[in-house]
Amino acid sequence: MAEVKLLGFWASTFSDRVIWALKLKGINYEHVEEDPYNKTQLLLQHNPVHKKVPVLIHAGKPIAESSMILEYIEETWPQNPLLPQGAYERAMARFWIKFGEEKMATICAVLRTAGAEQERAIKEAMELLKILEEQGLGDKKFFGGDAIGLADIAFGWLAYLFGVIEEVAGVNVLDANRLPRLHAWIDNLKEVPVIKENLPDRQKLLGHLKRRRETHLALPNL
Amino acid sequence: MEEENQIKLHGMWGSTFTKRVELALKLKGIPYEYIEEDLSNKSQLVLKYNPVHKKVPVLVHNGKPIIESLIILEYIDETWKNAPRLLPDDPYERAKVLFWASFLHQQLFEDMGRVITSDGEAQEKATKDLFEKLTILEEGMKEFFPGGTPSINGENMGLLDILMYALFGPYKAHEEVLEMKTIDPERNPLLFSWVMALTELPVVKESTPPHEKLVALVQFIRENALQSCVA
Repeated sequence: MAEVKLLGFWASTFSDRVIWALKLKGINYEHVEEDPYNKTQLLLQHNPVHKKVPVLIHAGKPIAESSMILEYIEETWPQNPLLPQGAYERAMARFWIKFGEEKMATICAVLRTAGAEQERAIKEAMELLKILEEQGLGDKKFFGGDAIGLADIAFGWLAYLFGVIEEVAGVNVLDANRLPRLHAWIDNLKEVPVIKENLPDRQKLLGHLKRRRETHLALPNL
Repeated sequence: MEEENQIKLHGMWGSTFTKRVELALKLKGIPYEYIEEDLSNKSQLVLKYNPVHKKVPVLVHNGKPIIESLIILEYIDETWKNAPRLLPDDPYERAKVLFWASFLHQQLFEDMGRVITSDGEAQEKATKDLFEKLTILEEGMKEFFPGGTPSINGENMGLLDILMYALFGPYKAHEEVLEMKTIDPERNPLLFSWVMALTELPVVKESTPPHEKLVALVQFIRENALQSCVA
């Protein structure tokens, strides 16, 4: 099988998604850890437009942007399919993946804000999560139905990263009473072996995000 | 009433997102019913089909709604596999096209929007960003058009052609309102010749609104935005 390399960063949830997809499909790959403050030539060469991780390099060909990488993986290695068969169901999965990408910054704004601004951020985050729970997840066990799919992988950050963000920011957004189905989804997701065994170290993440929050709050108000 | 393959498109005549879907349907020869939506007074149907974003375009295929223009285009390509194929079959080529599609759809579109809806220093910065991105796109597209000038017809138009036309097809209207060039034959020779080639195609010409109407729309968007900035 041609060589597969993943340029990633331990704290990047976008990297994690690719790792989960590769492992769920049983694909062997070499992980290259990038330091965002000291990017390798390999990264700059293979993602000259955005200069970001993750980048998947398959047989020397680079693919950037996590949602594109996930689709590429799905198409190239059809075992253990992560997207539904029907075109309409695929369109729905892609819609929710896009929704997650567009709204992630808003949902995570609680990390970067304080006081009244944070109160607003909490309210906005809860509204978005409510939409996700009611219209995206609905009564299903996973976004993908009975088994996890690309949409679950794309929202995986809610299951671990967001909890750390809440702790650092001193807020409670993803409350089990207010968002019971999303909470159940999180528990189910964390039971999936590939996800369970491939989560970043919580303490390390806590420290990393604390520093991020301090940096953000220290920025002058524009 | 025939239930099989009933296709409806809810859109807005001046919307670049609606235009993309219309063009894709026309290119593939898919018959559809078009419903013009008044964005200030959206129909119950749009609100029902797109409760999350409440936006057009919405494609309704046999009663099932699909939203978000890029997702609709992928859906169309997967459901109607006749020529032209909007996306390549090969996963790597497909990933490359989707990469640039995302670049056009998000980054360039946002920059273009900012140029239209700002003035003074803000507009200068937005214009600078736009020109930088156009340069990146010009470079990136060289790989897709190794011969130089694109040679496109109704049989080989793809996703990037559609997006390019939807965004820059109205370049003359933009120029008139902004009193400056956005895409420029000198700065972006490949992109400019590409848009020229696209706007000459019959299928594109019949989807293009009259120039005066486009100018009025861009003018309206700009004035609306600038007014709302004044506190």
